[in-house]
Amino acid sequence: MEDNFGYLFAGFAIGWAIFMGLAYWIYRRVARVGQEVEEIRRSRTSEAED
Amino acid sequence: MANTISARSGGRRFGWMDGLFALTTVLMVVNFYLIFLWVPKEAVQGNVQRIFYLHLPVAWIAYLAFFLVFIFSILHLRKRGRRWDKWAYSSAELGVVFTSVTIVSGIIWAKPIFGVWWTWDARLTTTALLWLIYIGYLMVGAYSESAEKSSRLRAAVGILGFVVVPINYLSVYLWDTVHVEPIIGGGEESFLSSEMYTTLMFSLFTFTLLFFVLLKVRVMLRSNEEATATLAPD
Repeated sequence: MEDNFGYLFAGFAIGWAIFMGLAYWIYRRVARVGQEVEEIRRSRTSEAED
Repeated sequence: MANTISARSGGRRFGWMDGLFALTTVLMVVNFYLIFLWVPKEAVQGNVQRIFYLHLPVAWIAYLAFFLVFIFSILHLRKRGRRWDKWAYSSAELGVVFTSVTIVSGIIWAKPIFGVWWTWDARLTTTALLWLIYIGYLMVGAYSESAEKSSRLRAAVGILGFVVVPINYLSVYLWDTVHVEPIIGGGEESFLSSEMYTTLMFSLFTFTLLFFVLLKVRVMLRSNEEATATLAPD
């Protein structure tokens, strides 16, 4: 039983790395969309002012 | 050096959130090492007790999430605007997720120790109630006509719903329940060995960090949802 905990740890660690990798990928996408939306809004505001 | 980093990250330099993601990933792997390989086996329950280092921190984080919903909801009603509603809604979503993990880990732990997967005792029933209240919180906005009205309705549910949190915590003292009383901070009989205490505190810190990282990302996503809605043509 004790021996199985090494595999369990490895499984959880690998699973966790995959989960955080996906979460980080989502975060980068969200940050980029946020920047793009801000740029569109700024350009529309300056167009309206012109 | 800065150019290299910028190029790798798709034209954007690494910020503090990138660092927090890396830190949370590493700390959680260390946390798994402590739980599975470092902390000694508990004398009475055996290896199944290791679920405790997941179950307790996750339950605490769920309480923290609902406390934040309570605070942000008050701020929203006092100051209006969309800012605090976004934080409250995102916190409630994470609270529901963490409560779900609490319930599932509790069920897995209960079967070998109590002999049942689930029983309708005070702690378990109030946990299920808490879970349903905050699912209701997330749903309530969908039934309202305006965004402003739905955010105020949500805030009311967020404030009133928090009443169940202290009842849930105190339920093990108020009623007969199969659930154990608090292991730490629960009186003279509550104690842990130094390794168990270290593992628990490490796990608690790591899950707290994870919660705030996920909360920040969820708030950013909600800001994007609202911002893109304002850009859409009428």
